[in-house]
Amino acid sequence: MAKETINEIVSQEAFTQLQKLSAELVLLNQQMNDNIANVDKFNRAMSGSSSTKEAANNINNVNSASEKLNQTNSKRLEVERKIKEEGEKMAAQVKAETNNFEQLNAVLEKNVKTQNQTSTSIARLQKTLEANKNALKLLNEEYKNGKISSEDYIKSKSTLIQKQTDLKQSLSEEQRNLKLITKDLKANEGSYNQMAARLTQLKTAYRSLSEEERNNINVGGALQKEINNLDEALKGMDKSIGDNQRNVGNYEIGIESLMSKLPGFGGMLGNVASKAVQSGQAFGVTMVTALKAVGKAMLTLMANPIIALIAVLAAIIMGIVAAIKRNEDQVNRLKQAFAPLAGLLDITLKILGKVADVLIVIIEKALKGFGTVMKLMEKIPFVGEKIAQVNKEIEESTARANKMEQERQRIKKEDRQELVQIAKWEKDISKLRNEAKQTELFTDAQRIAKLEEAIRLETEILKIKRDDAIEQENLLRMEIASGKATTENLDALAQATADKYNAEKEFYDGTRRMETELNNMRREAAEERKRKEEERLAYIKSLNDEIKALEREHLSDIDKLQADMLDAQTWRDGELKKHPKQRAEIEQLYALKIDKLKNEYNEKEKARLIELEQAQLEHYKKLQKWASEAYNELRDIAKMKEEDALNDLIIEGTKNTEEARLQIKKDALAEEIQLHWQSRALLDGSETAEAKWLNEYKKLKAEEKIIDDEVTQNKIDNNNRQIESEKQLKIMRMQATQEMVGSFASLGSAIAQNIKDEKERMRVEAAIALVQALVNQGIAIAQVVKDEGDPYTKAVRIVANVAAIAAAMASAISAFRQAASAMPYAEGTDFHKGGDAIVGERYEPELVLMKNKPLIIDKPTFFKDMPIGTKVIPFSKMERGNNMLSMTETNDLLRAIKEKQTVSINVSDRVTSFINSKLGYTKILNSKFKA
Amino acid sequence: MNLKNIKTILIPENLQSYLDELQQRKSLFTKPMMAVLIFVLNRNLKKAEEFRSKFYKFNEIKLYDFVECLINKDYTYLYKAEIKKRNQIAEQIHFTDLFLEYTEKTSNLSDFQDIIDFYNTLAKIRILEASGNIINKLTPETKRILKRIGIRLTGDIQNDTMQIIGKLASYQRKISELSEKIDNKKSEAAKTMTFEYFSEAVLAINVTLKLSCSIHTLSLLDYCTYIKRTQNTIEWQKKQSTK
Repeated sequence: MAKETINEIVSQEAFTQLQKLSAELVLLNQQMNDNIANVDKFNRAMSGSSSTKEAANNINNVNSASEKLNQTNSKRLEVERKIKEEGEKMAAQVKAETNNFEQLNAVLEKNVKTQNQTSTSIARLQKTLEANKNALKLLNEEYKNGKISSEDYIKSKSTLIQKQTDLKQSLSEEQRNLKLITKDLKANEGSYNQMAARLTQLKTAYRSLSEEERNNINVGGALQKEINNLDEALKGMDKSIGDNQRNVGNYEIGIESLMSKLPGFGGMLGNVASKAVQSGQAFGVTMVTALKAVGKAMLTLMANPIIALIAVLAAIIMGIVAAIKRNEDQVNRLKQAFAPLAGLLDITLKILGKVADVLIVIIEKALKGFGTVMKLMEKIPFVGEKIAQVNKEIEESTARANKMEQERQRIKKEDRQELVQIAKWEKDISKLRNEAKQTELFTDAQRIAKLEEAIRLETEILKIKRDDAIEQENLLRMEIASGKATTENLDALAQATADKYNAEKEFYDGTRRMETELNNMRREAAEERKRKEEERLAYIKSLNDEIKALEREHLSDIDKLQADMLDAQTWRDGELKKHPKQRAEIEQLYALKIDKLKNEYNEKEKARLIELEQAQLEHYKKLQKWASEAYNELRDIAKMKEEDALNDLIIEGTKNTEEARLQIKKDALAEEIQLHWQSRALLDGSETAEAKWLNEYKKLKAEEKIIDDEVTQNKIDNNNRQIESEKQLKIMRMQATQEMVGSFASLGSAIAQNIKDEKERMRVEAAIALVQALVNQGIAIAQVVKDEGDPYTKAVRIVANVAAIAAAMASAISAFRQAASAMPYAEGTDFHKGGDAIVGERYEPELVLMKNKPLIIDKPTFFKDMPIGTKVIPFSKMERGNNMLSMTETNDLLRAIKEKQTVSINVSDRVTSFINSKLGYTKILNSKFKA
Repeated sequence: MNLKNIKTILIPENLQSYLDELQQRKSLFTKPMMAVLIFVLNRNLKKAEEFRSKFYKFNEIKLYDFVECLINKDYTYLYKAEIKKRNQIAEQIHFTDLFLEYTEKTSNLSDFQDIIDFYNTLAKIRILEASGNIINKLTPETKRILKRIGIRLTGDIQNDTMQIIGKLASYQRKISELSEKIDNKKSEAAKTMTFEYFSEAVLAINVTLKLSCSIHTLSLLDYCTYIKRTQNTIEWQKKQSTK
């Protein structure tokens, strides 16, 4: 019975939607926390406002922040509501599905028999049939002996025969049922094959319903619904592999399913075979194409050792398939269906290149061989001379043609590259030229550099155009020289020469023009610089002059003071000499005079100092104001640049936006920090200003740290994403492998059903079983690799599995090679006529009496040159007593059973080296073990 | 001779402080400072200057013009006549600045207290509403904020939610009171925004300061300073009388 997981009931989109909503909710929660912090921050700032303006600003901030918080809150509520809705929807879906399933199950339990029931009923029917036969026999004997009348005999016989026919029919029906059930059980869950088997089963059940039951919604309706569902699903699958006609039979489905998994094989066989009749070269091309396809497929699969094994075996099976039926159309569907393994293609294509090279070398050698034959023919008398001449001509013309072809191809290739390159350069040039004109955004040096770059690119373009013209002309000359001197060619040559001269002229003109342009710009920039320099110098000079004038005034005042004081001293000395008696008065007067002078000077000096200070302060303030304004403007410009870069990023649509965005932010912040660091020179020495500056600086540094953290986080996230995708890839590979197994199974049964020849059918069935076993081993290996645990026990398990696969594969290949001539003895034989033989291919134990020595075989075994007269007896036939054994024989047999040797796989050196070299898998594992 | 030597000649003490300060200022004219200034002068300040020159400054505006703008809500008055292209956003910003400056000059921060309280309460209400919805996903910082508001988180969701709801109710009561108060104030303020009100104020200034000026001649700056001074005088008188 089918098991359904929640993933199948509820669509992946719904899950994705739910996941998306949950992620959004987490994000919104975080945002809300951030917004709360924001509101609180502004709120506190508002309470501590010192001026009206500040208060107004803070009120604005708080208002907008609370608004934002409110919006986020309502958004969050909306998301929560949506999540609830989605969840309810899903629950409803699951419930509906469960109800349906239960209903269906109930109906099926009633109407469809299990494997056990079916086998029991088969056994019962067989018994009844046997009894019926016996009864018929008895009736015959009785009639012969005259025990019953002819009338009774005819009556009884007809009844018995009628009964027998009925029984036979029921038996065959039950047997078919058993086959279907077994197939259902064996097939992979959800595979095409399983679905198909189930559909048939359900249809049978539906047919067996009475009309009343069929009309009942809970019985017939449920079945009908499930049948429709399955039918739809199968149709969808058919469509995906390109077949709209489903009812072609299992055989077609099996092949298609496999073909879709193995691109190249069918096509290879078809192509090579159909075109082999054509010319040698054509055949070579086909060969190359076909082998390319095969190589691609093979190497793709080879990337995974498990799949590599499957590929080898698949190739063999495909050989059989091709022998049965050839279908070239299927080649086109292969690529599409090969999507699950697309991840492996990259590595493959690289290797494929090498394979193609080898093939081309072979073709080249073949052509050379042709040349050698011609050379040898030169030695034939009479004809040789002519042949030599022809050879020489051929050689020359070939060389010339080769050279021209090479040249033409080179030019073509270059043209293609140049077309793109020139367009790109022209875009760059116009961008650079535009930028070179923006005086506000860039400094002169930057602008000149941009113009220089633009001019360099333009020169490059002109150069390329000139070179192209020259090359074109040369090519035409070569063509004319090789004898193609047509009028058209000559005209073209003239045109090409003219073009060349034009291009050269353009080149020289352009160079001169651009040189002038550059010089002009340089001159302008220099002039501008000079003018600004002069302006600045004039300003500083005026500043200095003012201060110097004041200082000069001050100096002259001091001189005057000193002179006055000297005068006063002279006056005092004179007066003292004149009137020595009035010394005290004179001294007093002198002191008064001096004081007056000093006071006068002090007054003047004070006024001047204030003036000086005023002048200096004024200048300083002006400069500082300008400086801070300019600083602010620079910050604005930096921010504008950042925004511009971010917008560019969005427009360009770069893939890894997050990383680039962070980088831009980081750069902008670095620039801002640098600007801020420079602005420390603007501090006027006050503590508040310094504290403010430091605060701002710390803030910027903190922001830098945050962005750094974000960058790290982003890197970690990227790594995680990569790991996750690798995991997904692994899972996909596993799924692909499992699907392959399903395909093999279906193919196996399909082939087996369609093969009439019993011998061939046995062989194919055995092969399929082997393939399935191998694949299961492969999956076991994969499981071991995936499992966590002790690496050493793992190693042992893996080696055992790989060895088993290698051995099985080798034996399978040899078996296939030899099986063609061997006799199958699943039904047993009394006398082997000589030659190879296969025993036990039906997995039924058989007794082989080889030269009267008993041997028990319980799995398909190949005997090369089985001795003549060997007896093979299946165990099932032995029970009927047709082959009674003697006491000795029975004893021998029992002994053989008791001492039956177990099969031991000897992993020889050859096998291990094969594993080491071909299946690079162990190497990977080894590295794993070391870790 | 440089400025330093003046000290040796001049003795008076009152000059000493001047000189010290001057010396300090002089240190600003250091080489890196000059380098920065030169670097700054290289920049184009023309644009900013131009933009600023389009508007009056606070002290240039006549009181009458300002009142005209205020009452009629017509900001073009503050625009120079020769400007051809109007910049409405700039007008708005400039007028807001001007009005703020005016209020700053004529009143003090206590007049804004109600509005500040209102927005403070509103912010708290929003915080509580939001954190009530994400009560089990709060970050440590949010928890600290809630603690400051007065919510003692216990970890028991029901208890915490009840606390938040209680707090929300009290804040909602407060905010309704505040909004009523502010509305009343607003309507009162709107009543006073008339030519008469300003004329009376000017008259009062004339009387108190013994000046003779009218609303047409008085500049906004003068008006503000006089108003402030009269306010201060009245307050001082009040204090004196209570003493």
